[in-house]
Amino acid sequence: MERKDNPDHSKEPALDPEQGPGNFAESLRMFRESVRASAERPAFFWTRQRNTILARINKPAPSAKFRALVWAPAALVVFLCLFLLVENSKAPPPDLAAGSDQILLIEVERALNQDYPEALAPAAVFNDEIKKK
Amino acid sequence: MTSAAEAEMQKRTIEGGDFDWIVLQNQKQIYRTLLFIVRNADAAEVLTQECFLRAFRKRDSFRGESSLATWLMRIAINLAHDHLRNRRLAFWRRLMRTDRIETIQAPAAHRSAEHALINQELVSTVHSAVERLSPKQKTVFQLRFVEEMPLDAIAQVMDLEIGTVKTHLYRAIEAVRSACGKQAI
Repeated sequence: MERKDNPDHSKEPALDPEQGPGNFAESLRMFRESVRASAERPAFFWTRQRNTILARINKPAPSAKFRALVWAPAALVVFLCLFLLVENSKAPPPDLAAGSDQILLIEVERALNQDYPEALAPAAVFNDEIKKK
Repeated sequence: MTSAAEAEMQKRTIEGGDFDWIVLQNQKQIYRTLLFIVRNADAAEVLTQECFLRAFRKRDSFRGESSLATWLMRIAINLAHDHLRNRRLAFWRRLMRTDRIETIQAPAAHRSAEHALINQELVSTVHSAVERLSPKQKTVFQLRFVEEMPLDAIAQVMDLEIGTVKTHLYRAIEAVRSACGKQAI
């Protein structure tokens, strides 16, 4: 319920404009007639509408068997989608990943077998040259 | 307000399944109200059907506290407002609205062409002013001056306090009167 907007009851006489100046009351009367005229329809329109409403009311509700026929395929499709999704998530990683792991391991092993860090390689070469002389 | 006997009779009518009679008695008023709010004849027709279907499905909830017509009108107005809230149709509604005012004709029973023209202008002015009202003011204005419903019934239909209905109506009248006054100048 809306409770805000307390009305100013001192202005209540204005709620009946038909008692006010004639011109405005006349405008409202014509407005009413024009709205009513715009909603006028031939008799067959009302009969057709009434028949449609009654037909929709009297239409039997779908039986449990019919509902099962609709829901069963839908449930099957959902189940299949879920199954495929789970299966795809279990698939082995691609070979590319395995290959790159292998290369990385080889590089690590090579770095461990070196006597010096890779950054000091130029100094090591220089040291070897001195030793040779 | 309806008397207890009337309410009981209406309750029995709706429970007894005499729905053909209920549709016959109320369809014109419901259609007219929906057409005024939604501004589209096809939508008004569909919503009228939906209103009676909803009333039939919810007939157990009718307790006879208001008249059957008021109860149906309440369902219709809720449906109309739900329809207007549907933003997918906003574009089409705007298109419809532009030519709606032009198509409304003033009553033809007037003596001279000059008279008819003045009346046509007055009616167009009222329609334009009503178009600019808020949805609640517009509905209250329509229920009061087209359907000629009493204020307490309007309050029941719109689920508002009667004081709020008076406020909406007062503001609507002032807006329409002001538009008519400007047109007269």
